[in-house]
Amino acid sequence: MQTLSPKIAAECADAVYDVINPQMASRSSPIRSSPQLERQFSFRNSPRPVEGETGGIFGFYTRTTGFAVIGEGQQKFRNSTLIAIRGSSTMADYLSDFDVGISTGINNQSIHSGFEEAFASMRPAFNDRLAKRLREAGPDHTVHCVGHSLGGALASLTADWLKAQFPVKVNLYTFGAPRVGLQGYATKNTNQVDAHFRCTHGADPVPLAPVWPFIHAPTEGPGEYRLDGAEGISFSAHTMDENGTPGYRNTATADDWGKLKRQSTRFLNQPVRLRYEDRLQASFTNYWSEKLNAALITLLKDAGYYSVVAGQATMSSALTFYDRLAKSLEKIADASTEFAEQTAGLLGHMLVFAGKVAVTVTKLTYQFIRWVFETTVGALNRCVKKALETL
Amino acid sequence: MNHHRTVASWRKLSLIPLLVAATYFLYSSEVMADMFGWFKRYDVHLSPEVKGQLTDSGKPLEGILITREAHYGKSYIDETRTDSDGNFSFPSRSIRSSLPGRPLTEARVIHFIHAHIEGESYLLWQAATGDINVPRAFREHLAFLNCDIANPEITHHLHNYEHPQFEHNIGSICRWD
Repeated sequence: MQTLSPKIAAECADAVYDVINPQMASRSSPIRSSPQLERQFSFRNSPRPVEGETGGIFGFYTRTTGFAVIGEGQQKFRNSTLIAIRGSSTMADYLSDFDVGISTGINNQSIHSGFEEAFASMRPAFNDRLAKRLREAGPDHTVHCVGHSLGGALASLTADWLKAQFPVKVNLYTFGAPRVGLQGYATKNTNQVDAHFRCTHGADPVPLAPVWPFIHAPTEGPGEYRLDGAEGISFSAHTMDENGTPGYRNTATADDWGKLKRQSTRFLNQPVRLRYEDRLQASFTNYWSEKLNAALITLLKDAGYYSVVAGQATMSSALTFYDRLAKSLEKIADASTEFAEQTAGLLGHMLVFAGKVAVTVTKLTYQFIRWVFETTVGALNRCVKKALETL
Repeated sequence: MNHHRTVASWRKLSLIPLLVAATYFLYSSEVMADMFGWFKRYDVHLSPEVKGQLTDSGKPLEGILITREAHYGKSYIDETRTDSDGNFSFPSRSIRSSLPGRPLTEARVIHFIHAHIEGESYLLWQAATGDINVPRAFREHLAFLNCDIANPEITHHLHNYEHPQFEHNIGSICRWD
């Protein structure tokens, strides 16, 4: 099975932004490739960029905008197909909404309803362009799905759809992609996709969203490729092109994946218990976002509530989920002094994370707990929203 | 564990402080936006001056419509016609835009030049860059856009002065020696 190099995957994720205006497209090739990409894939049989159906999400993926390119493999990649999908900052609202809608997508798993809608608007176009080629391709054929930002989320859904429709292998390459679905989706995606290369920058806020119960795939294996050593949260860390700081184009320059640093999700399956007195150590960083996530899961597990709460995550929206979660935490805190302290430790850290240093945790009531969640999720969402805002 | 204060209930807030808060929020977010430069407008250079000649197997083509399309957030289109020697030119073109200051906008300057002959269009220039200043290689090549419609369209890989680890990949029927 062939694999795109980090360098080529990044070039594809970057170049697909050039097809936004298909009226201007060239008759022969939607994007222009480097000599290396030119040897591996040809876009000549699919010169027009893939366009969305009318009435796509927010009118953005409409007939007037191109959102993807399809390449046919040649030479070493002759048994491959490439799909690159661009991001869209108009979906910032979807990504940063406290009340994220959850809907049932491919494989009957719970996913972000905005991503599902956007993917549904592009699926017919993909089917038209790909069905014949992939039905005749044979089981050794590999489809490479590539995308940056929201394009990465859509590449994940495309990968799942391809696995369900065609007998082909599918590789997934994402840069700064958000979380697509809940545990069930992430597990299924991990099992189905043949190879998954999830690339991030340490300070990129988009991979932090939407917050738990959304989680990233892959849930096993190498986890993610962290392409820089930055910490904190910075908008510019999300940029794809070479003018960014650092810009995924500049950090994904390796010719093979073995050379890149792999970082397992730091707190995955590790218990984290926080003491209220230590709360000032928290800060508004990627690191603490992950740690708070783990502390919440640990508390639910310690109190025997995890499976109940995780089960509730299949409900219609994140709002109702956080509502139930706050009710569960109120009960947990009420059960014993020990759990009350652990709950206060978590909430205290969350408040410091969200910049509410002056608020002290007193009564562990449902209303208060829910407000803490709203504040914390709100702080993260505002940051993501700013990162994605456009005209 | 401390039990000092409870969280203020929103219901206690009357309309006036709410309005004050809303005004403050609007003001402060504008200040913030300004601080981050989101409203600042930037010069975006869509195209340098273009000078070229259009021929068919070496013979100058006269009166041919040439279009220059540039896209950055929206599209900007210019037209001209070749003279009796097949020569054509466009002045440089810039716009003012707040897009470069917007966090995370993967905006690209997308640039096409076509010649339109009897219902056929010939690609003289296809380029894209995230740079809001015209890359040096674009400036150098667009000053000598000599194109013969007998030549096939190919991808040229130009030296990228600003980011030497990458190439500029340009679609064109034109040739540079």
